[in-house]
Amino acid sequence: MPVFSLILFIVFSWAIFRMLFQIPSWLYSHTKTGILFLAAYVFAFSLIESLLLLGFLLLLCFILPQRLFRGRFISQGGLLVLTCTAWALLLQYQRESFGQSYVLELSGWLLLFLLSLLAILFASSYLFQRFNRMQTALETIADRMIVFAWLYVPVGILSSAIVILRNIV
Amino acid sequence: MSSINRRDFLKLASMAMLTPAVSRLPKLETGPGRRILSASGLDSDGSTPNVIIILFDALSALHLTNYGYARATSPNLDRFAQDSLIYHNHHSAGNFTTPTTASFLTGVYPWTHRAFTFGNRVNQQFAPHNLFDMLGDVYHRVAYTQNLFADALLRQFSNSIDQYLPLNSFSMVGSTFYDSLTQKDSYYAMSSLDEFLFDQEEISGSLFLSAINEIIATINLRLAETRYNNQYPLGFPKQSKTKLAFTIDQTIDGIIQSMEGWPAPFLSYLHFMPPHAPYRPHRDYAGLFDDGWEPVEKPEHPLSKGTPQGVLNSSRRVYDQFIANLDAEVGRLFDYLEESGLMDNSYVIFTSDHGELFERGMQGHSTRMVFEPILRVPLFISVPGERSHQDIYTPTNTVDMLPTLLHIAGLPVPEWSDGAILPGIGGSDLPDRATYTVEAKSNSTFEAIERGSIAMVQDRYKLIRYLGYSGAPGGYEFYDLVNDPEELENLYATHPLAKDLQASLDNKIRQVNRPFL
Repeated sequence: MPVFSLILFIVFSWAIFRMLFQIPSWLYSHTKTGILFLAAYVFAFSLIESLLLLGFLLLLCFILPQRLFRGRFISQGGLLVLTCTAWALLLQYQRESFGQSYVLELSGWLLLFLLSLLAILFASSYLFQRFNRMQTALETIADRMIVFAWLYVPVGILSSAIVILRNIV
Repeated sequence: MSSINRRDFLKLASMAMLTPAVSRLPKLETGPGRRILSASGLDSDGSTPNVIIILFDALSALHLTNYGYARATSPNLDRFAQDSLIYHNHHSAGNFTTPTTASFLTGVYPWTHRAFTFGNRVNQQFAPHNLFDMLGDVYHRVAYTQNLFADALLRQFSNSIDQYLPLNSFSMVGSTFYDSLTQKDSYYAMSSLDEFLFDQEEISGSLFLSAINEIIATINLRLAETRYNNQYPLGFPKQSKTKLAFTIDQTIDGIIQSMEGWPAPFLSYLHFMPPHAPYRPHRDYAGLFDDGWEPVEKPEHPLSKGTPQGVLNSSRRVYDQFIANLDAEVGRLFDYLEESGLMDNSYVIFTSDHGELFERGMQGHSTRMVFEPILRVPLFISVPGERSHQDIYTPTNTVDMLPTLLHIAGLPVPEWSDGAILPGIGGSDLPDRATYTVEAKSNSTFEAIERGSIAMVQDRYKLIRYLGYSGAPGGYEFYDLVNDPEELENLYATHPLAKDLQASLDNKIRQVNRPFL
């Protein structure tokens, strides 16, 4: 739950942060109800995005040696989420250069991304053994994020219901 | 008509480099009326002709040979024009896709239909007043667009369209989320998913899914480019705000193939993306116009982005190459219409939604400026069974299309329309009539227009009013388009007619704003 809460916090907060930039222009062309519908799409997809990222983490747990995660899934998972976030931010702000990359170049970036995850995982595994405080600190932060899950999960579920209804009726 | 192939085109283009520039703006007079069709607009045998509307996005009339451009960008359009009516002073109702397409389809100015911000739809009150709905009893109605903003409008009218070809119908790579996931709620899905969460041009609202989408789309695009042997040195033509990539020839082939199945009489609205940015000509056209020609240099405008003239000139050249590319493909479409006999029993209308600017420190059309290169759009109309050419110089506007098409279908023109039937198709010359262009993308749709640029053209004069833009020169600009087609000398302070036009325009703005005050 703490890892999922951290994911929810990052995904939803980013979406809300970007929406703050977008809402002034939405106000020009959409009614207030319309803006709520737009927000419903954003939050519904944010929930899906969060679940997919959690799924990716679980997949890594399944593939990689169990000893890497045993007893410290929260700290290791949290660190992987932060690494993925750093890469996603890099892609957002360096879109031009990524957009012009060739397939080989992109494959190189993807390989680098996976290697960085593995490196972080192995390095942190070692560091957490040596410095227990680091692990505790990460676990505390992730634990505090649970409060956001109480907010974002219901919002995401309600938004998904709105989106489904609008596409059925 | 015989087609001009790429080799012929290259020869013509090289000859044109030696041709001196011709006058940019012809005199604002109307030639003698060529033909006035019967009120019903029907053929002599009583059958209803088809209507084929071909619209290329962001195509400035001032970059076409027929409108006096120094470069031979459009030999196939010249060929088409030989048998058509040419409207030399046709202005767009807005300076980007949304307001102009909405005006085309509803026959009213943007301040009435209210679709003047990015990706907006028309006011619900005017939604039933659309071209497709009004012509439903006469034609089988087909619509296709490659432009995301035009798609939002067409989807608003989709209940009145018999055959709707989705945005990605003829694309090679990519798809849109709203089209594939949420067709029933496409408008909100488009604004929230394609334009926000998965925005391909700016920072997206989604961190991870947009990254995955970006990577997959880029890989697909690069593989397609390799498959096509890099025929497009600058990349494939692309639909803005999406990763949808296409080639003009495949799109035209797709339309031709689709057209064969349309039951007559049909009305087709075909809205193609080129030469809209990014300008990506096929490699056969990529070396054209290396002629050293440079346009008249104009002083930087206070509302410009300060782009250097050298950058503007080199962008203009690529834009011209892209026009030459689309012209060749349009030539193939015209050949098909000719060979299939459709040209003989159809009104073929060739036009654009707005132009493009490469002057005063500004490139493109994402601007508050309303100068002629961005407002003057081509309008060629081929009338079924007529094989003669006529030049029409009366000022006309996008809003005239709906009344004209209703007239062609034998239907009355509604009073609420701001437009008039085009001269040459049954309308009268109205040289003193004022036409308008409304730019108000920074203004709320739900409020009075207090921030925007409004242009009024009347006879040979043009008055521009800037509302709420700090830095705009004095609020007004006034030009004599005959003596000063490049709009270099602002006569607002000195010309005796300037104040009359100002009073007229101010009164009009007050009138259209009244319901929102």
